[in-house]
Amino acid sequence: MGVTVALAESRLARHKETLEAFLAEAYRSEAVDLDDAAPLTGGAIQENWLLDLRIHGGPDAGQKQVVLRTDAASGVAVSRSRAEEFTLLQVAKAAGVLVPEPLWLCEDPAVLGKTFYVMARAEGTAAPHRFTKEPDLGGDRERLAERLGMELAKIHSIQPPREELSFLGEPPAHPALVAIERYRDYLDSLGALSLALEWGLRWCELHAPPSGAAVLVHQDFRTGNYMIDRQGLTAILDWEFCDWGDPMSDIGWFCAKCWRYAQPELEAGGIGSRAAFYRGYADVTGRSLDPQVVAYWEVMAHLRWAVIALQQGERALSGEEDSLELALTGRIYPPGLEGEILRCTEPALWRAAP
Amino acid sequence: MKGGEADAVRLLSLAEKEIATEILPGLSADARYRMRLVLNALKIAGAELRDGGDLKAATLAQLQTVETTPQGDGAETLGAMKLRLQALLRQGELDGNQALHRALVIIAEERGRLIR
Repeated sequence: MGVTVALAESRLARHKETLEAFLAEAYRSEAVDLDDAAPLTGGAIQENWLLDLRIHGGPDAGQKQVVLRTDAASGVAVSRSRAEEFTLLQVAKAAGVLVPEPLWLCEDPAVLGKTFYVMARAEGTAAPHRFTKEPDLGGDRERLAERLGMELAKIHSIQPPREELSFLGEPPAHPALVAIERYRDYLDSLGALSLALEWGLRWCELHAPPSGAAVLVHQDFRTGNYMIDRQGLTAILDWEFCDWGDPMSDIGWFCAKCWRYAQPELEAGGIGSRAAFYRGYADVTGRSLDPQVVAYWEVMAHLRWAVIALQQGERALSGEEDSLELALTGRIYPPGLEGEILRCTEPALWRAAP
Repeated sequence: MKGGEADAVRLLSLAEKEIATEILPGLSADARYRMRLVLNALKIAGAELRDGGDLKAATLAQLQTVETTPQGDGAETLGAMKLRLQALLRQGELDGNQALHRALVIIAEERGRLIR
């Protein structure tokens, strides 16, 4: 994550005093000085700021770095609110998942003009291109893949009903079929006539495996959304898409070819072997994974990413956001994803409709 | 070139070359990333101007190889044909259809070529 501008030039500058007052109270200190605030890259939907604090008095007196997370100018409807995300982080931490410690939530608009929360800073990087270029990052990569499997299993240990997660609503009876309908609706609303995606959606509709008990699914558990340093994993990030769902959807998303970046031969997120990732998952859950079911969810993963890419492209094309990056996302990714979907669903792999 | 005036494809191609050889090497990492996005956009726009019409015609020709019931008439536009096939796919009328799969693979490859 890169630091690009100083506090004086940042959008936080005009909220400096109210933010310092909020933090002073939160830290039970006499005063807090906000010495610097720098945006962290990597959030298209949220803003993440690295804050340099000097805490005067109280139990945490001294210098400290924390991360402030709030909404970016343009949000995505399916994304959780910051307050919900804060609760999800608390629940995940209580379940033993390695997350940046959630510190304080602030819903008072007088402080920053919008809801935000503060969390501990996790060391390391989440940038996938550094994973490829620096093989010593993350420590032993097979061990890292195994650890990621264990962390995901801990997330999946969170099961409904949970009162503090009531905002997630009722778990869907059949998450795959619900998702397929939703993707068709998205394509229709975008006016996107993609026959390859329609082909994939129909295959997924016909071949959906029976769904097990719903659990908390992260829905964006992939390389790029966790941090590593030289020793290993330091934090699982980006909890904004969490929901109740089929645990195998997260396994498929993590292993899908589209998220292996420059190392497609490393089937666990482009960083390790599938066997190591599966082993870590099975060590915590006590259950082995069914390769056929995971393969199904990898097709679903490519479909989901293709639909998201088209949605992101539409945000730029509609004029909602003048972002060349979003426009290119909608243009560059779908053909490759379509190719992969077609490869995984060739005619010999179809069974007759019931 | 026509009468000394460069057409859109040539202008984009020269702009790409200028960026790649003269501008990119001197930029910082963040600016280089942003400029690569610009370069990508220029490349895709150039390829579409040059080959986009051919791709549409090729897509239509590929989809016409798919036999369906009912069959589209010969004058069907690409948009109308896609809509008809989309409806058939959703109804399960084209489950595992070899000709459609073959056509879609070729179309995806051609679309991919346009952005490389």
